[in-house]
Amino acid sequence: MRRIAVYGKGGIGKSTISTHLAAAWAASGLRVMLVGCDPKADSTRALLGHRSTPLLDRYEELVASADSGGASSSLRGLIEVGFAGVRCVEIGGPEPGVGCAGRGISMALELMEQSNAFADLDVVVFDILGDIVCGGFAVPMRLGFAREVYIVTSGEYSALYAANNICRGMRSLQATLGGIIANCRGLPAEKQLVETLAHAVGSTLIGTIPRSGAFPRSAMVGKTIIESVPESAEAGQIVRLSQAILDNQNLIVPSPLDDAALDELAAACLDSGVEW
Amino acid sequence: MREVTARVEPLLSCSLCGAIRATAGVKGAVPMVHGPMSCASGHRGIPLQGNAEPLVPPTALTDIDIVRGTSKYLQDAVRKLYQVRSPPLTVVILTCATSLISEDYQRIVRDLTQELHSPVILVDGSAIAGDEIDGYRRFVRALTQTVVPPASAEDAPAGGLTLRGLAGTDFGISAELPILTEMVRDSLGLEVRGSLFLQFDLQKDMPLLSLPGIPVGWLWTEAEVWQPAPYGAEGTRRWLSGIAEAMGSQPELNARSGWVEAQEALSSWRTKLQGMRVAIEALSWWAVGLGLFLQKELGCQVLLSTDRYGLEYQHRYGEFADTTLVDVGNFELLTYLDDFQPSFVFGSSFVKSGPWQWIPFHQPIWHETTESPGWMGPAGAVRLATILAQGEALYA
Repeated sequence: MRRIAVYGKGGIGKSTISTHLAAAWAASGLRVMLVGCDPKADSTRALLGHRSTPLLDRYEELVASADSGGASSSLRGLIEVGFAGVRCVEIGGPEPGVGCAGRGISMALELMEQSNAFADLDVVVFDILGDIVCGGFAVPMRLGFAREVYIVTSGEYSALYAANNICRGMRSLQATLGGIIANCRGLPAEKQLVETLAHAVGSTLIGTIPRSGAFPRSAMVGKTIIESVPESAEAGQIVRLSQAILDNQNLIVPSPLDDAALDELAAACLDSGVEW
Repeated sequence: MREVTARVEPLLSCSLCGAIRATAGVKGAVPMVHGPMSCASGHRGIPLQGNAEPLVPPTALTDIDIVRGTSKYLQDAVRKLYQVRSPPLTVVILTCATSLISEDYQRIVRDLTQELHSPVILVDGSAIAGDEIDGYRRFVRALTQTVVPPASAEDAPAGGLTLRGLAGTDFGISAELPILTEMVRDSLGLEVRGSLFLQFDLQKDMPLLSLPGIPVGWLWTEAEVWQPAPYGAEGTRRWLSGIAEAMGSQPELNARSGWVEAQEALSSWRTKLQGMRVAIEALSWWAVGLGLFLQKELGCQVLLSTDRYGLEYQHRYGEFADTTLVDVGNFELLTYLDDFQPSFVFGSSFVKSGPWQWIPFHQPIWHETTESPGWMGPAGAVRLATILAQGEALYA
């Protein structure tokens, strides 16, 4: 089973990429689970067409079931099946401004592991909230739930900075990076910039998703474009990315840049002659 | 001087414990621990050290409560406590878990204060935010800044002062406080009107807040010049002079205080006690005061196991201890005592057993132990020197 985590700056398109990859893999016949690790609990909506009940909302009930040996069946009742058979779980978390979301991720994933929720799968995808803001958000990597990480970034400086920062966290944890995905915002030389960063940290640009209105349009109706416009060019790009990840064997512990080196990298791209 | 700052087994506990000790100094106040069960249950014994009811209710949070947010649990628990006990003061003490997730507790306690028409204050008691001393200080700050309205000077009893920083849970306080009070009255002509926060009554004692306050005990380092506890003849003179200076007067060490007799008695014991090894385990106000007496007035060699201010005092005002251990406690301390080979050890029950005479001096002390006879002031100094010189076993 492939255990994949998708990280990146907040709002960069992690959930969009995660749901589309899950949809593409499931459509090709693989058994796939998508685990939304965001308190907003909105990772799986495009696969289900609605919001599902977060696991943490029923945590006590699941723990009680686990104590009496019935955790698997209780958890199965919580796992909804979406487009092409993708099994969807939202971990959920506290209301904004209270509680500890990172701790919630840790507890929920451990409960899922104990309940054999990851059995009989070909791929499990963890869609992680934002940057690695605290130890809780590193849990999927730290405890080995995810064995390969893909970082989503655009060519904007703040997104590149976050991507490099995630590499720092990964190096501390000795977690392995599968590659960097460019989710383009339409900037000049954007792919080149992301690719330069990917090489600088010792990895590769594993795929590029050009800016397109097809993604937000499809999201409005609670679907992925794999479902709504499967013959579109954008769907083709997603399928190619999903295949590249499946074929990928280049997993490395990244070597993040220091801040000065990252600034130099950005400046060099500006000086490359491309008109901004 | 040998300085050791290892912390394998620290002398001090977390900030929470200091806050519980301080709360025990306000009549009827209840410390509510906002966090997991054992943060409260592990410390229920602290109020007992001050003969206060061992009531330390927790919000008893679990893993999932921490994840979802704890505000509602706190609100419900305080309301329930008020329904059942109606305490005159509720002290919400944060633990590591609730301090880390940083919800808007200040707003919650403010709202509860208005809703219940009874003060609810907040103290960060997490171990990562500080130790017992920090917890005690935070309590005093929270109470004086957020709840207690400033009393007007006209309400203050004339010619008095207060001692700030003793706790009912301090070992021997019931014997030492009368000694302190009498010394201040006899030597300075001032009346100790109360000791904040030692049996502080929120209804009656508010005017005391307008009196000049002399920092002692837990708050002794808040004075401009740090005056350690008045042990010994010279130590007592130094302490009284410090108060006099703070109050703008001169101390008169009159005959009634037993000053002259004490000096004579101590000088006769000095020859016998010269070079005797004595170890002290206590918070710095007490440890430094006693250590200075033993070393400067009796010629003993002293090992101090104390908090950070015990070391800082010596850096500021001069070294006197052979060895100063900072925040070293329990079994780790015993290994240092074995090396030092003291004849007497002043401290908690942790250091009771060993090839030395033990004198109870610092909490925790097992409940069956006799209360201290009082070692402060000239008379106490003579009592103490006599015991050391005669090698008496006070408590077998």
